[in-house]
Amino acid sequence: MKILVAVKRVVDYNVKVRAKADGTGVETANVKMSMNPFDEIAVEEAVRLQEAGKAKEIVAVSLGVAACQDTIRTALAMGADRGVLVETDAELQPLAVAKLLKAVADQEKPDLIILGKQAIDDDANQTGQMLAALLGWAQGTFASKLEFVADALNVTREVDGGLETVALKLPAVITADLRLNEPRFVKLPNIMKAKKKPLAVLKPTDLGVDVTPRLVTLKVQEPPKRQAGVKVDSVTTLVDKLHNEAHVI
Amino acid sequence: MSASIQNPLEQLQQAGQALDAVQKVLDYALADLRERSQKADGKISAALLDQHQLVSYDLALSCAEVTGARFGLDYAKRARNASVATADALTLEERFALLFTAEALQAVRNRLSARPADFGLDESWLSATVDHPAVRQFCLAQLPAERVAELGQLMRAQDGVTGAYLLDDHHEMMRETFRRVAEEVVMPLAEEVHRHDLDIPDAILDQVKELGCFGISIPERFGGIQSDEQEDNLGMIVVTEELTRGSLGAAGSLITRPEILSKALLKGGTEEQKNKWLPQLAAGDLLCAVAVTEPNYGSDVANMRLKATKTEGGWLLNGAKTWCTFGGKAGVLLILARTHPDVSLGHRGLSMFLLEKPSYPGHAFEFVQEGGGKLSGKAISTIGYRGMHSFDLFFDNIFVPEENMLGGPQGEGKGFYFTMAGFAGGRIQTAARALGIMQAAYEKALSYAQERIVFGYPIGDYQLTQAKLARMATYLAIGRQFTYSVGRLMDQGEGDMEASMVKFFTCKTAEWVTREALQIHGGMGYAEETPVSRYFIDARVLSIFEGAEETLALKVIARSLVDNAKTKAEVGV
Ligand SMILES: Cc1cc2nc3c(=O)[nH]c(=O)nc-3n(C[C@H](O)[C@H](O)[C@H](O)COP(=O)(O)OP(=O)(O)OC[C@H]3O[C@@H](n4cnc5c(N)ncnc54)[C@H](O)[C@@H]3O)c2cc1C
Repeated sequence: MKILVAVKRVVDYNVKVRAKADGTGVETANVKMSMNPFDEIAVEEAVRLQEAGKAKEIVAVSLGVAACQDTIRTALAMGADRGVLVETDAELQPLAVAKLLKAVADQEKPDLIILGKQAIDDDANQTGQMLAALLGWAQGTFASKLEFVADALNVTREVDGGLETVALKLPAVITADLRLNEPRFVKLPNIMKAKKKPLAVLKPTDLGVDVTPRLVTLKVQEPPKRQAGVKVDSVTTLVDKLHNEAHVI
Repeated sequence: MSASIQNPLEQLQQAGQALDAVQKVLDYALADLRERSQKADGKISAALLDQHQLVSYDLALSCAEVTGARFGLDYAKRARNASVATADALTLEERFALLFTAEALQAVRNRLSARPADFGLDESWLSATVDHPAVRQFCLAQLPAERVAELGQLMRAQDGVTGAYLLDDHHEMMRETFRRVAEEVVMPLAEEVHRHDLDIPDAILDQVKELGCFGISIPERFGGIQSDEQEDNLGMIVVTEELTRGSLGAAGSLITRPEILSKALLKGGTEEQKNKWLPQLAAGDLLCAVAVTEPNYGSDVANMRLKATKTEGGWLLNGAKTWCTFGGKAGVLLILARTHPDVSLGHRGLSMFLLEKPSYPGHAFEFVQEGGGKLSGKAISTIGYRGMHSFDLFFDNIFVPEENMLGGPQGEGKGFYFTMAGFAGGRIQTAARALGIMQAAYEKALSYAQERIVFGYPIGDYQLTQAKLARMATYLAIGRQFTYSVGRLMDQGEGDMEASMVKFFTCKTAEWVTREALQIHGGMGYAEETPVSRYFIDARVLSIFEGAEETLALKVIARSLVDNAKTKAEVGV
């Protein structure tokens, strides 16, 4: 089995995100960037499947600026075998990403594609679903467990009421939820090995995909600063304030 | 021209010119010191040099600061190239470099002008260099309180990040990984280890081993991760720095011993010895410790007395060693011993041995060999640096087979050189440890300054706190780049003296940075439960081991500067 994992370069989860002064986006100059945490979980799952003898090859794909190569190298150090970068400076929205991934999948012909359920920058949670639709493949989203039973892939999904298990036929698209696994620390020897693993760079035009954005961002602004709280002396005052000042009850 | 309308490039140029002027006066003072330390035959006499210790120390420190400032200016340039900053706005890294340079110049001026005659200088030298209007103007433009505090304000918006690290991607990945290891594995255990003087927990030891840390200074052909062609000191530096951010005693110092031992083995070991020991060290299957220091000799390595006497098939060791860190857990000890009975041979009578022993947990052990030889060890109680335990060792007829003499029969009498080869790695590694502690302390200081409200405002709102944060961040960021740059020099087989300089400088700085971090916490800083109290105590040891500050400054840095000093004629007027 061949697995494709998609990895996105995002502002590191430890960084306090700041809006740009002109309201056109968030500040990314001199800001630490890392692999989207849900994608790390996706890579980890692929590596575990490989270690368990279920997968032969893992290809890590990223889409975006040249620096996404760093993100791919991280996936390679975690255990992916090779990388593909579709390089573009254009803004990429979920549909464009899904189309690019489909084009890569058409070339690579994987049996399974694993993505993070969402990226922590735009929290869109759309790419995996769009990709499955474009490919016409089965999808198992918000996966918290994968299990191969005969020739089906059982995917446990975290849904509102609890856990739901669906049986998928391959090829399929999976999106990883937080509890699917705990990604490993990268070992030093593997960091050195990752330097030598192959990484191919393509352009969207090579794949014949038009990535022009379809949505327009009007404005990005920071949430209002939280006001300092007050202590109230009785439940009556609390209820009164919640009702008359905060208007929440 | 007033400084406020100068663009960043002009300010950096001015800094460079000011450093050139001050380098000149330092060169002249070194030339003068050289003249005063020469014997009739022109050779430098250690005894004569020792008559000018204060001047030697001040020159060593001044040259370290000026060298750091130069690396800082270079850093500012690289950081600008890597950023999207506009030509008229100062980057954070440029602010660090400028403040650092100005403070260094100011400090050098203080030292030289306090006792110019001792440096062989007269008024005209001072007014042409440290007091030159261009140098003064540069300092006066960079050092106003408002400007320093402004940098502090900027730091408050940086979430504890102290400038761009500017690492290439695989070193960045190492940093990233070990930053997480420190946060997720080390930090949760660090306080307990410190307060209860515990052994390093297996959770940490096993993790560090599994990730391949012990092989970080060992070439691939011996099972490590270094390329066989070229040394990579930066990887070791970065990993050490991040682990130390978690804890100096319980994590950051784990790599020091294999670093020293592997450098000594690579330098002096026979092929057989390298093949036997390096793979075990790299895998972390064999932990090691270094036993050089003795109760009566520490800095004076050439004078060590532990006695090795020839016996059937090997050597018998008798005597005492002290401060042998990790000596309990270690499965092999690297021991410097006197193999020639004639003490007057000095360092030429010393050899190195590798002694295998069982690994013992806890604070005391006794190892009895089949033939009756005995090695007992007892941990010395210390105020900090806890986890590895540093042992007093007593050797009573301990047998070491002859194949365990480093370098084989040819290694006899070369122990001092092998020790020094090992220590060079230990020094740059200790600079990295200083960086890790400083970063940890700075982050705590910053977050406390944001939260703690005194007289109605967060203490970070006050100018004095902002100035502290600005200076702490500056010394840390420049110290880091100084260390990285020296690491890169060492990869090229250079930078030995610079490694001592940067060790000397960063360790001294770490004491001050951790002190300020504790101070910002007020009373809470003095509480054992607050990590900054541990950072403060731990940082204190850095200037003692791996070359005590004074010994490094006088015997290594000043000595090397004087040896390589230009003549007065070459310096010119
Ligand atoms: C926690 C800890 C762990 C250690 N771990 C190890 C280890 O694993 N292995 C090991 O071998 N050693 C270890 N050491 C020992 C350490 O390397 C020595 O303490 C150090 O070399 C200094 O030696 P000393 O203590 O004998 O001081 P001394 O040499 O007695 O020096 C005392 C003071 O005098 C100063 N001084 C020395 N010479 C001069 C001079 N000519 N002029 C002016 N001042 C001078 C020194 O700088 C120092 O300030 C450790 C020490 C500590 C504290």
